[in-house]
Amino acid sequence: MKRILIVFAHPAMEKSKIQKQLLASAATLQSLTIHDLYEQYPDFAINVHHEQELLRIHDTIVFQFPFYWYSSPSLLKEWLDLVLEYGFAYGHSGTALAGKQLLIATSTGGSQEVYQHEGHNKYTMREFLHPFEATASLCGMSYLPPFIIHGAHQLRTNEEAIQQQADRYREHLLLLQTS
Amino acid sequence: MQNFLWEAFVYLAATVLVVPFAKHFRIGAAVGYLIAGIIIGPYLLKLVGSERETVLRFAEFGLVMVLFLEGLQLQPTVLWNLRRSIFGMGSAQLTLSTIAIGTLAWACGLTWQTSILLGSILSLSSSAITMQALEERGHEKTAVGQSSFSVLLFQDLAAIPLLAIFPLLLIQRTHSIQESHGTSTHPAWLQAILIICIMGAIVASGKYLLRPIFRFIARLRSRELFTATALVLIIAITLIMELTGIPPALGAFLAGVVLANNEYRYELEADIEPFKGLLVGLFFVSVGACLNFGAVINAPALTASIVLALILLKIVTLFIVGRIFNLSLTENFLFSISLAQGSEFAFVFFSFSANAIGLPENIASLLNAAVALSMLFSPLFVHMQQYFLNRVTPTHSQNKEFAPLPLQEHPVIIAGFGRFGQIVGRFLRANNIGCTILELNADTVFTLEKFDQKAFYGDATRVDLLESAGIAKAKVFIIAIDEAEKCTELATLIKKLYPHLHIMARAYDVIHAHELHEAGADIIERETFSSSLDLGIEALRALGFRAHFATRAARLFRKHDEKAVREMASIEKMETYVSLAKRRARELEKLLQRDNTKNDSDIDKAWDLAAQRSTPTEPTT
Repeated sequence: MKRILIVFAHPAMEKSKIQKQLLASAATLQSLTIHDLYEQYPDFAINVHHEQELLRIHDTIVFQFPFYWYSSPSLLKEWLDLVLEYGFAYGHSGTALAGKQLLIATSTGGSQEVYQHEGHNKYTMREFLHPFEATASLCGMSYLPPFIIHGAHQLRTNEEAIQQQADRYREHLLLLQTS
Repeated sequence: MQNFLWEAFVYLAATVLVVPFAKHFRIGAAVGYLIAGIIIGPYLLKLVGSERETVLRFAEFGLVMVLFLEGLQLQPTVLWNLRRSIFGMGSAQLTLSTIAIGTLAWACGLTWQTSILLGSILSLSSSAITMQALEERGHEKTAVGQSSFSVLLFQDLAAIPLLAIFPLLLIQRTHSIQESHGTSTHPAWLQAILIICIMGAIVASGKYLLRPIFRFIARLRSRELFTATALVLIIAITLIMELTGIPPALGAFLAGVVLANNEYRYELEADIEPFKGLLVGLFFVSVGACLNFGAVINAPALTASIVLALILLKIVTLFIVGRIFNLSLTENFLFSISLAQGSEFAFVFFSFSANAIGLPENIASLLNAAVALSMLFSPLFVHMQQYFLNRVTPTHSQNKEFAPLPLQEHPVIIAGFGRFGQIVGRFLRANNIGCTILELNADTVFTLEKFDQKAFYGDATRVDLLESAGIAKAKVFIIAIDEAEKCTELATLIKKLYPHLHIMARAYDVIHAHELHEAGADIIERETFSSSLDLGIEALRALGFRAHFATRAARLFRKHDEKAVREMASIEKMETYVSLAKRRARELEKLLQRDNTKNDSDIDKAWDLAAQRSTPTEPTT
């Protein structure tokens, strides 16, 4: 069974509905660690050594966050900048992450239609997430198809639909663990 | 002297012997006191004699204190939060009940003025008995508890005109009687002006005179002196009031209201509470001892019907009020039966101004006895009511939560509102977190007042003070006192008595931080550490470093320092025999040594590829 690390980034958890539910649902799984970045590092003072140790002892890394300005919240970017050091994540001797899996799990306000070439945002989600895909590639990780929840704005008031998505997320993670 | 000691012995011994029984049978301490009084009185054991009237006069002073304390509770915020039930239910109850009882009195042949006055006096219920009965059954916070509290509060407010102004209206009519009795030598209009002037004087002195006096006394930091001052204040009011023929309770109540928003409120409350308890007990004992059973025995049928009429009329009117204000049926039963007894004010009234309004003496003493009997029966009725309700509806929902009690139950208590506590308090307030503040420095409290910050004067290591500040309901206790030893002492005390609290403490230095840790504080902050480090950042920037670098360097230093301090804590214990100054010097030395060995090069590693490549992290497989 694979050990999953959810690196979670949400700057205003108290206002979240969907992400909170997703996290709660994931938390019920075995051998899965939830790492809440904004709770751990409110002042952005990331403990690089600690983070690297966490990465070492897990097989599948999940970046879970709400999609902001076509990317992740800023602390996750800071985390990437600091933690994925030369000699650890990449470079000649940087093989700590090689062979691990990377999954992006995110939620967007707009519907799936707007994330099309003909749509309002002009690019697909897969394209917006290219930097993560390239990061995975540089670190020798296998990049999994992203888990995306669209239309978060409409979903907010629908408890049942949120629960459905949360269950889907849990199933998805469970499948990753056992495959 | 011996006589006095004997009397004191009889009164206290009766209380000590009877009240535990009262507690055991859940009939309430007040009723226990009454029974104790009756037992030692002239109709049973004959242990007390002619002095009992004197004792009663003395014990009435207990009621003066009760009213002072009740006045203290009357903060504008409490009134506002409960305005609907206080003014709605309270006035409805008083009006209905006055009409009902007054009509009966009028029908019995009394004049309409006397009837109205009698009706309103008998409409009042006993706070001592009701609130205790409800608290014993855990009802203080339920709809019933809050409704009863509101009604009783309104009755207290109404007692002002009842005890003072109404008799005035009747003085005209009974002028001749009064002069022959010699209770008041002033004509009515002069009396009225006098009352208004004195009320004004109390309000004015409460605002402008008492505060500086309390501030001065508080600065001397002598608890006994503060208690003495509080007693002097109440006794002075009583004396002045008696001179002018106004009930002293009224003046004390007014003084209490004036001081309700004062920063010394909690301290006053805690200081007077024990005196009040004892004197109120004494009051009920002497009421019991003074009961005129002769009158009762001469007219048993009349007494019985008066008592019954009183209780029934009260229950019916209270029930109607409860109905109007949406109490459920079971709640309404408890509410109307709990409040269906005469008030302790009635005793004061009957002995104070009964003949002033032309009430015959024998009727007055009958009514007095009737009120006492209604009190005695009150717990019995409540028991019966509970019993029947439990039989009929075993799962009645009496614990419905009422709107939360206003204020004084803040989640945070801050002890010490000086330079440190102020910042914490202001920050929490800015985020809409209510704080109850306890501060010992009278000057600080005064200064804060000028800047619209509310702080209460009081020593935070006093348990009674902590209780009245609402510590049982608090979640976080912040210790921000200046004196290091006092901080540790307080942390130990809180940890022992209120283990549910999250204790956060301000530490003077590293050594003090260790002591606080030992005492059980959960979060400890060294008072100068963060600000010193911030200044360090500014120093680096002034020397040309980028702000981001300086800030990151400070973060790293903080981590390093916290680790060093933690590690030193274990070594610290072995060196407790060394003098404080020496320990400080050694600590500094150790810290400096550690600073030398630390590696700062990783501050900018993330954004400096060259640095990363030159010091590669351990390769892993």
